[in-house]
Amino acid sequence: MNVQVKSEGVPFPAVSVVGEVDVYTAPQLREKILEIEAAHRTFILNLQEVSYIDSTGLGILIGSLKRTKEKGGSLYLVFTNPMIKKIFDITGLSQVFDIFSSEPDLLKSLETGKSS
Amino acid sequence: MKTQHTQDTCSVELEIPSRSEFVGVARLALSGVASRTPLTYEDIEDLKVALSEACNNAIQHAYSEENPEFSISIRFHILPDALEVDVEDTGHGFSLEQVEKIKVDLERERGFGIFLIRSLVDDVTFESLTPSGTRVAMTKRYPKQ
Repeated sequence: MNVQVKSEGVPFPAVSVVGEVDVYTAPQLREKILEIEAAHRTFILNLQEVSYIDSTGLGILIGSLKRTKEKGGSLYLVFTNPMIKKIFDITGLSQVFDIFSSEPDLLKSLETGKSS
Repeated sequence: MKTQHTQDTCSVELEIPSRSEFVGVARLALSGVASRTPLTYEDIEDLKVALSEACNNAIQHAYSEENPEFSISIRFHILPDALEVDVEDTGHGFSLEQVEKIKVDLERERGFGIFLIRSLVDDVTFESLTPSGTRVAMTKRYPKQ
C-alpha cells in the first residue's frame, strides 16, 4: 500500500491510497490519517486506486469520520471500485460516509451545496 | 502447500504464520485455486474478503496477539458444485453463542469481520475444536450454468 498527500491547489488535503488496505497495511494508513487530522478538520480520502479493503480498514475510516465530525470537520471519500462499493453497501457504511465518484465531482457538489 | 484429490474433489492446504503480513499470501493462494473453478471474478473477490476476515479473527482473537509460533491452516476444497475454504487455528476458540451475538457496532468500530463473512459467502459454520481452536468453514457455490 502507498499513501500520498496532496495539499497544494486544493481546498482540502487529499490523501490518495494505492493498493490493498488490510490488517497488515491499515496501521500505516491510520498513522497518515492521524497526521492529516492533526492539521486539518476536513480532508478527502481518495480510495480510487484501492483494490481491496477489509474490516480493519473500515474501522480506521469510521474512527477518522467520528473524530473529524467531533471537531466540526468532514471526511469525504472518493471511489468507484464496485468491490469496495459492495463492502460499503452491505455494511451500511454507504449511508454513513459522504462518497463521491471523483475529486472534481466532490468539489463541484460542495460548490452547489449537495452531495452525490 | 499440500494437495489431495479424489475423483470428485481436489484439496489444497496452506499453512501461514499467525502474522498479519501473511494474510495477503492466503488471498493470493485463494485467487490461484479459485481461478481453477467456475467461480466468477466477483465471487472470488467476495471469498477473498471472507477468508481474510477469518484469518484476521484467528490472528487477533484466537491467539490474542500476533505470535509467529502459532500458525493458521487454510484448506481449499474444490467440490463438484462449490469451493469450500476452511480456516483453522489452535487458539483460545470462541463459542457459537458468542459468534451469534456479534453485531456491527459503528460506535466501537467492530463486528464487521463476522458480518462480512456471513454476507459474502453462501454458507458458513463456526466450530470449536477439541482441545482448543476454531474452524471456520466457508462455502461459495458455483454460478448456475
